[in-house]
Amino acid sequence: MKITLCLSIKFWQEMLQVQKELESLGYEVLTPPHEVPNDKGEMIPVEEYYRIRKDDSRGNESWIWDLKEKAIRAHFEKVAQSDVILVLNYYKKGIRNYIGANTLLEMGLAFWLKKRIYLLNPIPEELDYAEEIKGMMPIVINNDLENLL
Amino acid sequence: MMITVCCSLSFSDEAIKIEKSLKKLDFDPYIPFTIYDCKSKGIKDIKQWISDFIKKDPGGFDQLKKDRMEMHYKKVAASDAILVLNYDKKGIKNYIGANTLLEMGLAFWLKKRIYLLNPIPEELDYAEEIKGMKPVVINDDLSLIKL
Repeated sequence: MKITLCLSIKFWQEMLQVQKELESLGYEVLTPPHEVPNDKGEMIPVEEYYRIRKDDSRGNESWIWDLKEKAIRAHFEKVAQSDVILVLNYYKKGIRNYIGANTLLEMGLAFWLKKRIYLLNPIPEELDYAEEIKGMMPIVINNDLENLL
Repeated sequence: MMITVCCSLSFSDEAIKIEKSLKKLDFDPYIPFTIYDCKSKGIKDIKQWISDFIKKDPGGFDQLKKDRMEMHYKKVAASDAILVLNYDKKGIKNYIGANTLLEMGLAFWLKKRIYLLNPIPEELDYAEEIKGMKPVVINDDLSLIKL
């Protein structure tokens, strides 16, 4: 079974651990990239790209937004290729079991494609969009990868 | 040209007006089913209705939410483009809610053109995701919608 992991980049270290465990359970795991090309085609860490993007909130640097477009589509492709998605939702920004907007979009695509959606931790009730998350009927596995069907 | 209107239910009256304007311009518009469903049931305060529903039957509401999300997704998939009605809401200029964001995500995946009636809501946490989907801002001018 092929699993695509969906997460905020802040959870990169946790993701590596989950990836390792899933692979040892025999799953094929697709993850987001950790490096992306900048305007000169040089590979830079995703965290650095995020910093550059935050500084360009006015949208003057078109490569930044072209890359964002490509990045959304690239992970969408991975969602489409996989059998299920697993959302890694840990504590972030003072919110328990946080799910960011990008991950929400990936869940939305999985929902449209009728892929099973797993959440590592419970639904983040504090988020404005808890209602939409619940509507997508995710399966909460309570941090136990053995609960994946 | 079929165009699916995506918006918060708080903009129901505006959506009905836009639907009329789009028809005049020879588009085939579709607005969220819940808007007319609430009208036919005489529900005036949709927010209150939702909150009462969740209190009474949370599981039933999740199922209804799922059905309505799927219903509007199908319309997005069947249309040539989507038009997002992003007016001010909750003190945020040009607000786009999570449900609409999800519909934009589907339109993006299906390579449909995404129109925003008003500029990108820069204050929202997910302004970056909105920008990445490269929507076309029409600044309240429906004549700018092209095939």
